[in-house]
Amino acid sequence: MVRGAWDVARVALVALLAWPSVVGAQDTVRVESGVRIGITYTPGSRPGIAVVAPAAAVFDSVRAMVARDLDYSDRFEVVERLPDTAALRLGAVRAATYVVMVDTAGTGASAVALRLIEVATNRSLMRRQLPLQAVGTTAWRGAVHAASDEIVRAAMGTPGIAATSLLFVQGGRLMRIDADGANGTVVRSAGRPALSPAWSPDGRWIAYTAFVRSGQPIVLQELATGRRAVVPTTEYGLNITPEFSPDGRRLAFAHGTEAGTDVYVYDVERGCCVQRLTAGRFSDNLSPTWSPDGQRLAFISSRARSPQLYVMAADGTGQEVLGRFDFGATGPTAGPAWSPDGQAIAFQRDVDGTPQVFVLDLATRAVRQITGSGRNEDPTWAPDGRHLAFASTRGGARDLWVVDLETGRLRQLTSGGGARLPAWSPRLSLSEEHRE
Amino acid sequence: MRAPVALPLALALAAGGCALRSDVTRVERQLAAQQREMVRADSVRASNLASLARLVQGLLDSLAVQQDALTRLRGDLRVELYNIQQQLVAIQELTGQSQQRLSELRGQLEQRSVQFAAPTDPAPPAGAGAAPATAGTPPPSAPAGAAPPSAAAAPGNAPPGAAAPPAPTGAVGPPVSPEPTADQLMELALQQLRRGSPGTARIAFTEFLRRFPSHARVADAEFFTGEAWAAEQRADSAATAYRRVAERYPSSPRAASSLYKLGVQAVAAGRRDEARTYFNRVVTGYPGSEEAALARDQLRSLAPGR
Amino acid sequence: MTLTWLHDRFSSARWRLGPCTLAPWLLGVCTLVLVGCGGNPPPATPPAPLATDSLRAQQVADSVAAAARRDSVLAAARRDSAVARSRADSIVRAERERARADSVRAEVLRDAAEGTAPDSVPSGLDAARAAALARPIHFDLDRADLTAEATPLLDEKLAILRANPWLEIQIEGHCDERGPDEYNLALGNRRAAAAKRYLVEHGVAEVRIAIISYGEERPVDPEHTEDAWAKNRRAEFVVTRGGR
Repeated sequence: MVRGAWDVARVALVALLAWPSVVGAQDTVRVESGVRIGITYTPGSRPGIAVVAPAAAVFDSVRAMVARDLDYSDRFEVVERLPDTAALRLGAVRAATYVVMVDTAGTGASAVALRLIEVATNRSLMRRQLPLQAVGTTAWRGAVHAASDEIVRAAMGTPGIAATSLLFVQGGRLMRIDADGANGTVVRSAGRPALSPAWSPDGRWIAYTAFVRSGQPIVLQELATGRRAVVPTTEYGLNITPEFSPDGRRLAFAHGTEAGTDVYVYDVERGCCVQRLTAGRFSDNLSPTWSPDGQRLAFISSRARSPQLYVMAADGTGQEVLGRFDFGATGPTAGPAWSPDGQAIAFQRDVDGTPQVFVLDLATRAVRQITGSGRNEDPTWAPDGRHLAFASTRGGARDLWVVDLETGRLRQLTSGGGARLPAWSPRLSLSEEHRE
Repeated sequence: MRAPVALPLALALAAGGCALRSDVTRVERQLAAQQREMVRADSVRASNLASLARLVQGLLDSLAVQQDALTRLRGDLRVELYNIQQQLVAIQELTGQSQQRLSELRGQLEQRSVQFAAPTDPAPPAGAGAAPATAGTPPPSAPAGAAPPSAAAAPGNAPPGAAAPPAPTGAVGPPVSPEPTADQLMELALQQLRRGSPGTARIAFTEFLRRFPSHARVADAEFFTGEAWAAEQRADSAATAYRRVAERYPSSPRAASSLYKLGVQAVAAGRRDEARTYFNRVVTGYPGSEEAALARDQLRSLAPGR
Repeated sequence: MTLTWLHDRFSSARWRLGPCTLAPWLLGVCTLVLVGCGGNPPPATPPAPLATDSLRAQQVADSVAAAARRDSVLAAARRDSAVARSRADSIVRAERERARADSVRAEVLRDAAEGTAPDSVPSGLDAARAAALARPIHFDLDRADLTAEATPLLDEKLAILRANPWLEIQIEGHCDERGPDEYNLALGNRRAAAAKRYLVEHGVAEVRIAIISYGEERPVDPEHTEDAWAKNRRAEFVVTRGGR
């Protein structure tokens, strides 16, 4: 029996040993959580998709939103300007692998129906109805975005990221914008700046640093109601870079005293028990970011003078430098963000005095520079683990940009300048708050 | 009875009266002399006292000045000491990192020499031959070993940098045999642990301990076995592994982590005395470690009366 | 007569050296009297030089003893007052912190927008001293240690703070716009802490100085030049409790 178990173990080990070399050989293959085996993405061969709708204002606006969402997912080649549905015979759209039909649901004008059809087989892969009563509102937009994400999931196996928003700071105000760049709103505008916004994993709460007259506390705010609470112990000293654990039960943040800045963790669920995780000893430890399994935290520490990327267990043990750095040669590092698939950490690092966005592959410890033009800071991952948003001056003023790591495609998310510290939300379900 | 008493009294008075006049003047003179003498001594004393008081006052003043200077000096020294401590911590940190880096490089070098020794013939290209030959002399071989990673980490050359990293690992990759190196096995096990497969990871760690019982990373393997148990919510098994690390590899940095984790486990289970013992062991045994600082926090919150 | 003299001595001693020295003086005076009235037949001649010498020696011994005693009493008093002060300090600190926490919570709850209100209060100092106290100190790039130019400026503030023990200040740490925003907040905090550490180590009570960091959020010079950056890397000193 024991021998048998050992043999099984050894077979497993050999298989495991062979496996990473396959992964390592192909730089572009990225295993995502929740990916169905067999669906792999090959760059450069994105399937074509067409979105068709009858010529009516409502349908057209839905068509435009869905087409844009699909385009921004960077998983399809969106085929533009097709003849309208009346003239459409599926066989005629050779350019498209998939067609999305926007239509009335058949029961009159009370709802819009979305159907995804695979052209080759003429098979319907997905169908969803949207109630028509509140066209144009945030809830309506959210519903359309969620439908787009479902289309992506039906075709590619992984949902898209249309039904997400980003929090960011602009002119000291806490702003929110949808992932397609529309629907910007102000979350908080006090006379003094708010910084370091972060999302709870259920998308209902946010945490941020509020500058008030007598301190810099970390505030938990419910998005739907605007209800606010101060994280205990953050009434004193400097409190920055909050980050919810993936299970939403804990909040890691940096707390600065006269002895330096350290990473602390607060038990959100029990509403107590603030515990220190790093022992500063004259240095600054900040910007914690959780691994998706909640077992580890990457953070920035200046314990070796130049701020660099470190990692530790979630209880503060086993702190070590993550990724090589050469003293004096490797630029100061900041703003780490652990990818949702757990395989990589994005961060910013100075190159000749200008910050650029990098991605560290945790398996190989290889570091890849993502940006090169202008100042590029504060990377944050989209929930699909392939898009990064960051603040960049490539367009002149500092605005938010989104890059798709697989195709390298860039798009500008905000305009007007002064945008920074973006935080990409998890996928927001429709039951989430309906802001106006 | 009265007459015999009164008689000598009268006699004495008469004699006294005779003596009185001359004696009184003598006593008066004496008294006057004494008084003059006292007044004189008094003024001497007064001036002495005044000068003494001045002296004391001066002493006190200079003391105050000195004290001020001392306060200042002490302040300067403390500020200076703080700066020195700060630098010391940074240096310690860098030393630790250099050592870590050195052992990484040594591992890479060993791997490479194994690779080159096995497949290539005795007359390899000059560059390749240099690595195993110079294994004993670090200066020439260290840059050769350091070049690929630093080139990969160097910013600005994104396309070549992206292509470079697979090269070293890729070179190791193809001749993967059923006999992986210790580092490969360890990395693999860690990946499994971090991928959320603690069971597989545990098997790999056990395999590591079986194959490389005297490797430098056995403490890591034992420790992460504990971590794997903990990930499977098996606190008792995890505790056994942690205790083993603390007992067998007390000089490993994992020992402090293990003791601290045992303490945290004990707190969670409500065994406060046991927790205190573990935390105290961390503080006394590994006073310079991060864990010691965390253990001090824990001991404070465990202090009686809280 | 002797009594009056004694009394005079007594009160003059008291006047000169304070109450703590009464006992040794009394003792000394008694000795003097004894010595003075020493010989049973009072000597007709003035007291021998020997006697004066011993008297003076006695006086010196006494005054030295008195000074020593006075010092030890002063030291004890200082120790006591230090203990009392630190106890009072910690009480004051606890109160301050509670009040601060309350006001932080209150401000967050009403999301106070009164951000432009001035932080400082009138110091009650003359213009020159107020200016010296408010003069900012500057730092090197990405450094929080005090420069050679900063320490004399801090010494000026030190003198003012020690001479005006009712003054309380807040030190604000600032950074230039280079460097990550959040790291700069930590850096600003270290800058303010370094200035505070200097003042506290040189004798200013800890509770009198609060620190806060604004990172790069409040530049004095919004330009993007070396000059502007040098100006912006600073610690400012704001009076939070002044007047008398």
